[in-house]
Amino acid sequence: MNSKPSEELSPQEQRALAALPRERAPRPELEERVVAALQARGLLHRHRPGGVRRWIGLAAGLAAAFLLGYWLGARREPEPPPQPPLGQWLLLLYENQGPWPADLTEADMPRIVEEYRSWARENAVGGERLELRGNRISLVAGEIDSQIVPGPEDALYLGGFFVIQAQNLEQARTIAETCPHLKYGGIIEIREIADMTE
Amino acid sequence: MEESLEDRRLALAFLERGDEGAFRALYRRHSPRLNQFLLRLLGGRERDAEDALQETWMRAVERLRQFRWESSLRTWLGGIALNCARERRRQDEGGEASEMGEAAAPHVEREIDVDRLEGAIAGLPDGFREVLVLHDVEERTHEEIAQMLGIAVGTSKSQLSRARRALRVRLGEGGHEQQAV
Repeated sequence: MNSKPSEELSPQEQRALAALPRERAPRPELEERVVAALQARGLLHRHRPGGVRRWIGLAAGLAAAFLLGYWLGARREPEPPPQPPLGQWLLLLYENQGPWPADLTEADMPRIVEEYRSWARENAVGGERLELRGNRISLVAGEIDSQIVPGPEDALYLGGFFVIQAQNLEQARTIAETCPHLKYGGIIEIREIADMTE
Repeated sequence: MEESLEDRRLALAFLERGDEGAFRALYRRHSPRLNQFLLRLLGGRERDAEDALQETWMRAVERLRQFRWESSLRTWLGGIALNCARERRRQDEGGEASEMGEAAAPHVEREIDVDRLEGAIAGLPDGFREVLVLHDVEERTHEEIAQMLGIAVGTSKSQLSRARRALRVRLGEGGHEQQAV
C-alpha cells in the first residue's frame, strides 16, 4: 500500500474496500449496440466469412458414409434469418470415396462430427444428410435408370446438404469456404435457391 | 493462465475470421468488470459509463491486432477504458476537476457501509478517484498506475495518500458534500 504507515488503510477501511463490487453487468441492449457499431464500421462480420482454410488439401477421400452417419444426429435447429434481404443458398456436399488420411482414425470421428455441428450452428439454417445405401433410383421419362445416381461405391457422390443465407454468391462462397467438409477432402457445390414468394 | 489462454483463443478467432460469436464471448467475459470500473471512475453516471464502455470496445477491436499479450487482456482493456473515461469527463465537464481540501482526518475505525463508501469515492475529485480506484479497488501497482496515467511513481503514491485522506474526510462527514478548492 502506502509507504507511510500512518496513511495505511485501517482494517475497517480495507474490509469496506474489499466489499465493493468488482463487476456489474451492463444492460443487455448495450451488447447489441456495440455489435451494431462494430458492424457499421466494418470491424465485425455478421457471419464468419473467413478465408480459405489452410487445410483444404489435408486429405482426399474421408469415408463420408461414416461421417455423415454421425452428422445426422448432430444437425442443429434452424434459426430465423437475420436479415430480410438475405437469400438462401444450397451447399451440396459431395464426398470423395478414397483412403483415409493417414493421420486420421475412427477415434477422430467425434471431434470431426463436432466440427460439422459447430459449423452448422454458426452458419447454416438447415441441412440433411442423404441416405447412403439403397433407395436410390433415377427416373428418366418414366424409366428407372439406376446408372446415373452415384453412390458411396462411386468416386464422387452426393452425401448431404446445408442451407445457408447470404446476400450474394460471393458471400455464400466465403461462408462455404469455412465448412469443414472441404478440409476433409469433400467438394461443395453452391446453388442459389430461387425465391418463389410473391 | 487458463483465463488468458481463453482470451487469446477468442481474440484469435475474432481476428482471423471476424467471428461475431468470438467477439460476443470476449465482450461478455470482460464487460461486467469494465462497466463497474467505468461507473466508479465516472462517479456513478450510468449513461456515461455505457458510452465509455462502447468506446472502449470500439478502440479495443481496432487495436487488438497490435496487442502483444505482454499483459493480460483485462489489464489492457482497463487502460483503454481509463482513457475513455477521462475523455468522457472532459467532454462533460470541460476539464479536470480541481483537487479537494485535505484536512487531516483520522482513520475510520468503525465499520463502513458499502453504499456510503461508494458515495464517498464518487464525490472525490477525478484525480484522487482515479488513483484510489486503481490502487485500492482494482489492485493495480503504483508502477502500473504511473504508466496508465502518465505520471511518476512517486506522484502516484502521494496522490493515493491524499486521496485516502480526502476519502476519510468525506466518510467522517457522514456523507455531506465537501467543497472542492
